[in-house]
Amino acid sequence: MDLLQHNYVFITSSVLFFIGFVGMLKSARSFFNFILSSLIVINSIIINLIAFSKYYDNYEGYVYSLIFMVLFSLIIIVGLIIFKNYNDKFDNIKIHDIDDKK
Amino acid sequence: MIDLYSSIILLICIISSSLVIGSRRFGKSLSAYVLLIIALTMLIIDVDDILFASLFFIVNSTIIIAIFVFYFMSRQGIKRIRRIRAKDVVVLLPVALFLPLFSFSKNEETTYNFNNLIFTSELYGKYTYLILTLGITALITIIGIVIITSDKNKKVKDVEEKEDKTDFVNIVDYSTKYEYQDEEESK
Repeated sequence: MDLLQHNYVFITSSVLFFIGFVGMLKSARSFFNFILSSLIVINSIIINLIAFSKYYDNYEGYVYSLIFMVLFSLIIIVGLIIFKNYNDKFDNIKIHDIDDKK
Repeated sequence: MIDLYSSIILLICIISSSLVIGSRRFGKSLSAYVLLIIALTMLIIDVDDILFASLFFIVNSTIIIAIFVFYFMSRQGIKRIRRIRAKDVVVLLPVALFLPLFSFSKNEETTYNFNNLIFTSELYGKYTYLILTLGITALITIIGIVIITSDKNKKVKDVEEKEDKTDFVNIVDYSTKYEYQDEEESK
């Protein structure tokens, strides 16, 4: 397997990593944009792992990428739950309240 | 060497990830993220086996559904639920349908293996995945449209009920005021 065949994968993953990192720095106000940017970074890492494992014919990369995928998805869901509970505790506004204000 | 297929994937990845971090609307950024995930799945299919690509797609779609649900459960989502238009979410679905079909049509061997793996027979042919993709996409589109429209109708009904109640209260208040004024005038 030639390295040049996987060249575009490395380019894609590096570009995605850079864009996701910039998005994480930029989206200080919006929590969901921050999460989506961090997901972009995680996906770029996973794709890089897959491409390198294919290049070296080593299946450890697949295993690690699977572990990373499951672990990061769990972390993000826990973060979402914490965010939701935080919103409920400190700023619990329902639809009726918003309608009353309008 | 970067061929046309790879360059298309690279372009889609760059544009969709820029849209994800650049757009202010949640619907646009989430649909751009869906497009990015589809492009990455195509990239994994091109590099590696279809099984890992399907795993990647399933895990990421679960995360997307979790983000969608938690967004609408949060205060920010409730506030902005009126601003989200159905076309923001639905507009990229034809693209989302077309791109995996394009990738699968490129690699017929993986499609054949996938069909054999899932259905363990050749009766379904190589168009099984096409029919499955069409059906699932149509189902998701219909469910999304129904959820968005039913939520808007429910809110309109709530507002109408409240307006009715406030009118009734105002009428009662005015009537008591007039009665009070009449009593004062009679005295």
